[in-house]
Amino acid sequence: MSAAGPPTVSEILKNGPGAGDLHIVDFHTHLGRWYQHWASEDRPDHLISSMDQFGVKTSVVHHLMGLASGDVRRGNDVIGQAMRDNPGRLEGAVEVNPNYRDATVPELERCRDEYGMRAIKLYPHRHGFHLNDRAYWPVYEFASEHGFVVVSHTGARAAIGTPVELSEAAMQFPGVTFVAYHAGPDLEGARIYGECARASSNFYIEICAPITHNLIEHLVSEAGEDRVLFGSDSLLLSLSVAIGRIASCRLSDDQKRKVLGLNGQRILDKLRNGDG
Amino acid sequence: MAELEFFDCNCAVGRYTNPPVPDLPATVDELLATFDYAGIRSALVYHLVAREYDAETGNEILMEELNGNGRLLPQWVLLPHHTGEFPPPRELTETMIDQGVLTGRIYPSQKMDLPETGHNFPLADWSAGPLLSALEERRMPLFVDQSQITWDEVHDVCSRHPDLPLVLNQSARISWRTNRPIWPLWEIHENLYLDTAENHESGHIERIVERFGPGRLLFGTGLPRWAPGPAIVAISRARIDDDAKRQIASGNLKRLLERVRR
Repeated sequence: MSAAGPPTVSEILKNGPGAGDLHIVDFHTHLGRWYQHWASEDRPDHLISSMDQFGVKTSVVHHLMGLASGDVRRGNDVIGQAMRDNPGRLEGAVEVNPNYRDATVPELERCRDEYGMRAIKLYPHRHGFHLNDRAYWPVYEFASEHGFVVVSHTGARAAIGTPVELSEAAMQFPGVTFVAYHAGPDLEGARIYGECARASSNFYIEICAPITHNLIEHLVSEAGEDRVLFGSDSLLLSLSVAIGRIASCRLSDDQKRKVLGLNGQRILDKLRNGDG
Repeated sequence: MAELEFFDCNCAVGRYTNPPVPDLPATVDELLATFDYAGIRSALVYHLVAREYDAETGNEILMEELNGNGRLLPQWVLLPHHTGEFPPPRELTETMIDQGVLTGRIYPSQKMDLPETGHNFPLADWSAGPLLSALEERRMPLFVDQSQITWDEVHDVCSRHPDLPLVLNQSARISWRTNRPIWPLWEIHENLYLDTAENHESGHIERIVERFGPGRLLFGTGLPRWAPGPAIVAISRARIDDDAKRQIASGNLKRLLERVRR
């Protein structure tokens, strides 16, 4: 424990929600299975249990089926039902696949109307389209028109799906909030993601990559402490990984609170006001 | 529960040739400061010079830099003896015991590029066999990065040396998603262990403990490349009982070291 006063953020993260008050928003979670390993926890109740275990208030969630197969609709329905069953805990992201572009906008409309979903998840390297490809333009136009947030898998050195590609979209659609997942994985990556964040006020970075010791500090320094979002990649990964990285990094407690939840909550509040 | 004592089985001192960020802890003092901040009591430590440049040179530098520090136990990077770079294996293990070095680490990979590149020797009987047998005679645990060894090689080593504790680490590269290959190996081999560094699936530790008990897992961070927090929180917040947490945090590694035949 800290010498005398209240527990530090790190102490709360290491010891559990009972150790103190933290507002945690997880901007990157999944339901479903994965082809490369046994996902022993894959259902909505698993995710809620994990969120409760680590004190996460709200998670942005999408389904893995639409990432790794051509069927986005079944996964989106699981997400929509999970939102209904757990009001206030889950913010569902609609998975879209630009290989089936005629179905993209109708699926966004369906998930908005049936479930109230207000986020869109992109998986460019698997679906095979650069994030600045015109194939995504109807998606971005929909997001702009209907106040959706766009979240995307990215990689600093990826062949397809770089933060620079997403940054170009962010500049073209300044009214849409874009979140680049997996910022990192090293100093050069931090510089690239930071440049993108500084170039567009609607560009945020999320930090669940296999990032090295001391890198979170560089990411916050490069992008700014208001533009970095906590994400865990659970249930693919254990929430303990992302929680542990924040626990052992050397940001100030105020910075940790912003990254863990205050920045993400600000975006969720805009979403819920229909102003993504 | 009382605060857990963390004993890190996957830790190095020194500077990387090409560090991912410039300000990683590199000296003994910097490493200990990181331990104090994160809440780690002690560690097995090898030297990055031994991993990246030359095993013998790095091991010598390690002993100079650790200088008998009570919190950091030296771990040598090992080579087979055939070229004369290292002494015959039984002579080697005797020297290690004399100098308080109870564990070894190998980088056998024959790949050419970082981070998987290694010291380029086969793990077959005709190459590494005598070294592995000498370690096995003394029950000295052997550590190897997952990126340095194939699952078939893991099976072969565990089969040929059933009294050699073999610990798989994650340090050069994160290689999670282990459950499909390692579960069948754990069904066969009692002498195979896995560290807890960095990434793992949701429920990973809980499912392993349910199926195989807590004895197969060792706390390991992958410092200085990887942050210590994920391995700590993975154990401190796991949905397993307190005794299992204590075993994984430090008890299992202590038990392996106690079994070494001096």
